[in-house]
Parts: sequence; structure tokens; C-alpha cells
Amino acid sequence: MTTTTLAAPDRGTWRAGLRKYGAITRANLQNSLAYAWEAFGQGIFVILFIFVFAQLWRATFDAQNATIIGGLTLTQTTWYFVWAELVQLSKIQVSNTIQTEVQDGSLAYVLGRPYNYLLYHFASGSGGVLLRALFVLTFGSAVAWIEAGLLHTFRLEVMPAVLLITALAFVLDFCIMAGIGLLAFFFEETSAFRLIYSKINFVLGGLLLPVDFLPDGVQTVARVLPFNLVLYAPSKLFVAWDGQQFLTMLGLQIVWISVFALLLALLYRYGARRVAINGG
Amino acid sequence: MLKRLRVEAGFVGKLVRLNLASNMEYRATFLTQAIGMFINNGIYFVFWLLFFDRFEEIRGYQIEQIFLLFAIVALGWGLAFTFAGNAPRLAQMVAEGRLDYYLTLPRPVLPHLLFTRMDPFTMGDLTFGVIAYLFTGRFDVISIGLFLACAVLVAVICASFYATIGCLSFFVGNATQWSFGLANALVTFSLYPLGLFQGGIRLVLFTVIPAAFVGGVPVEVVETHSLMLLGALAGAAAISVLVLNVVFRIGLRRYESGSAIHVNI
Repeated sequence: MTTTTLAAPDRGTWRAGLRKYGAITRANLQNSLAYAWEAFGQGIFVILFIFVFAQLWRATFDAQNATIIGGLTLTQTTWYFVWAELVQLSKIQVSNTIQTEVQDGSLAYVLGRPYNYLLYHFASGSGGVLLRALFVLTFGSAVAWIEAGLLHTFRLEVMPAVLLITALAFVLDFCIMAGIGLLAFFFEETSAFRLIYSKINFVLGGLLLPVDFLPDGVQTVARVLPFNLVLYAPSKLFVAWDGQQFLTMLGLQIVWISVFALLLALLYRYGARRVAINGG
Repeated sequence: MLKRLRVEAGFVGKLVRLNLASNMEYRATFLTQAIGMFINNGIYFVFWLLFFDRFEEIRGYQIEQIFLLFAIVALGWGLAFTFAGNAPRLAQMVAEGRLDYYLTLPRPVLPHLLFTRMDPFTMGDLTFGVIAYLFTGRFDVISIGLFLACAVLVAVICASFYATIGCLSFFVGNATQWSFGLANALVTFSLYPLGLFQGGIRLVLFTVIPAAFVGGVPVEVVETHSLMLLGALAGAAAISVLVLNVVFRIGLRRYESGSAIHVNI
């Protein structure tokens, strides 16, 4: 007698898990393609940011009568912001979604589903990243090219390493943002935490000015904290590749991702126990 | 006409009091939001402190002008959305067909709609604006008077601009993203020294995206005590209200209600 099973033979293995979350990512990528106009609109606004930064830093380089500040030329500085905006505007926007699911109780419905809640959101959010990044890079590069010329230090052979650091930056940011979303278990509203995190990224993370431009004391603090690994690390390597710096940044990213992933898992476990399911 | 204005002003006053009471029901959230916005502004402000610590001056701006710029923009911003908290949500409300509630009531639709909500974040902006002004060291009566007058005019321009771009939803269906982007443009440009922008973009900042009237011009009014510039700022505020009214009236004719059921509490 033979028995047949509908489940895949490798069900429960990491390979099956990879397939499952890959399918979620693909589904959301298709979804984001259906709303490509929205991503296009977001890409348009990067023109504004790069334009403002280009004006500010051109005026600053002129006022200082300098060709290099903090080890970067004006062209490198302008292109630095293109990559920083690419990460900033393409990040997985998970915090608000999780907060809403905790607030309206819809989290209770997904607890019983056959996937890890946090991994689901990571896979789902990753689907939209690619398209947003593509638009931001296209528009941002166009403005940077017009305003500051081509990036003369661009090296195609190091791009896989830059992309690895960029991908890990997305993971690190996801861990922090998801953690902020889960704080909704304890606070009704978490947007204040989100705002503070985003503004810390502005200054200590290197979105408004590269960490190398900060005063020495602040620079030391910024380099110790994890925030520079989200925006500064990939952007700096993109415009001024340094093998040694790459290894340091990679090591630090792995350490911080481990720390935040652990905290996130603990926060989720604790929060999930507090979920009260009511009928209705 | 004057009596009607008085009645409507009284109605708006009552709405504001109700909004405040409603926010105070959730004190912890209200305070977290307000403190969050204060810190948010503070961290942005730190950027300029660090910037001028290293570069000292840029196109005529030093840290003193940045204090003043932040004071005016934050206070103006805070005033705008303390009173007209629905202005940033207008694009979404129109897209979702949520104006029905206001259309059925015997009050002018636009002010009723705009002033029905208070954004709890704004308390952080108001406080930040006042504290930032203390750092400018301008404590003479004229400067303080001009600062407050400018903040009120900036508030009118901000609220009108937000509501006007929200009206885009009447014409394109859902303009939430575009409205968000344009609002971002107003904030971004207004918080940078006006001298950075030359040529065509300067014209844009004085017209389509009136960031010059939100940041650079008020700073100059308080610094130079120029009544002519103050008049220009008042003119810009009046025009922004006029544009909002015209766009809203035209847009409202195209408004389509949604089938979703909404509850206004």
C-alpha cells in the first residue's frame, strides 16, 4: 500500500523555507511592479534632495576654497548622497505596518500561519526594494552627473562588495525598524521613536553629511554606533573604495545585525505573549 | 460679513478647544509625540551646529541665522498644524471620499475640514520654535513682535500650501504620494539658507513651492526690521489663501464620494 502526500518532500528544511520566503518576495515584487508609478514618483523626489545637497556642498567647497574635504572631492561628496538616498528611500518600510497590525489586532490572525511573522515582513518588504532603488539610482545619478560630473573613482570590480554591504545595511535597518514597530505592544503610538531613529540617521548615520565631515569627537561616537553602518558605510565604499574599511564595516555589520536580530526575536516573543484574542 | 466672520472664528475656536481636549485624553501618546517631534527637530538642528562648527559661514548665513530660521519655521509649522491638522491629510481624505461628513453640515466646508483635527506632533514644534528663538539673542520688542508676526504668516502659508497640494486628489484621483513629496520639498528648501539657490530654482521657491516665504524671507524681516518685506510676506500669505480657496472650489465640483463607511468621532 502506498501513501501520497501533498506536502513537498523537503518540508520543514531550510531549503523549503528559502523557497517559501522567496515566493513571498516575488509576489511583492510583482505587486510593486503593478504600482510602479508610485515608485517612479518617489524617484522623482530624489532629484530634489540631490539638487539641494549639490548646491550646499558646492557653496561649502567654494567658501572653503578647497578641492578635498574629509578625504572626498565635491564630485565624490555629491555621488555619496546618491547612494545614501538610494538606501534611505528604498528601505523596507516595516515599522508602520507592524505598528498597525499590533494596534488593530490583525497580528493575532497571522500568528497561526505557517511562517515566521518577522521573516514574512522581511521577505515581503524586500520585494519593493529593487524597483524603488532602481528609480532612485536613475534619477539621482542624472542630477549628480549634471551637477558634479561623472564619478571618476567608480570601480565596477568592487561593486559586488559594495552591494553586499548595501544589502546588509537593509537587513540592519529592518531589524531596528521592526523593533520600533513592535514597541506598539507597549506604547500605543511609535511614530515618535521612528522619527528619532530617522533623524539620528540624518546626522550620525551620514545622510546629511558624511561621517568624515563631522568634528573628531562626534566622528568617534558615530563610528562606534550602528547607525553609520546603514547609510554611511555603503555610500562611502561606493565613492571611495578601501579594502580594509570594507572588512571592518562588514565585521561590524554582522555583529550589530546579530545583536539587533536577537533583541528583535526577544521583543517579538514577549509581545506575542501579550496578544489578547477576542471573538467578534 | 463681519458678524459672519466672528461666528466662524468662534466655531474654529471651539474646534481647537475640542481637539486639544481630545488629544489630552491620550496624554501619554500626546506627550510622547510632542517630545518626539521636539527631539526630531533638535537632531536636525544638530546637523547645522556641526556644520557651522566646521565651516563657520555659508552664503551669508552663520549659526545665528540658522537659530532664527529654525525658530520661525518650527513655530510657524507648529501653529499651522495645531489649528489646521487636517491640511496634510487632505489628499488622502479626498482620495478616499471622506468629505461627505463635512458636506452635509451647515458650516463652510474648507475651514471645518481643515480645523477639525490637531496634530499632536505640533506641540513639539511650537516649543522648539520658542526655545530656538531664545538662542538668537534678539530680545528687543520690535524683533520679538516681527518674529511672532512672521510665524503667524508662515503658518498661514504652510497650511494653505499643504491643503492646496492635497486638492490635487480632486484632479488626479490619488495624489497622496505627490502631495507628500511636494510638502517635503517645502520643508527641505525652507530649512536651507536661501542664498544657496540661484537662477530658475529661486523663482520656483518664490512661487510654486513658496519655501522662500517660509524660511529665508521671514529671517530677513526679523534681521532687517523691514516693513516692506513684512508686507510682501503678508501678501504671499493672502495669495496662498486665495489660491487654496479657488483650487478647492474648482476641485470640489469634481469630488466623488466613496462607498466605504467612515465614522467621524
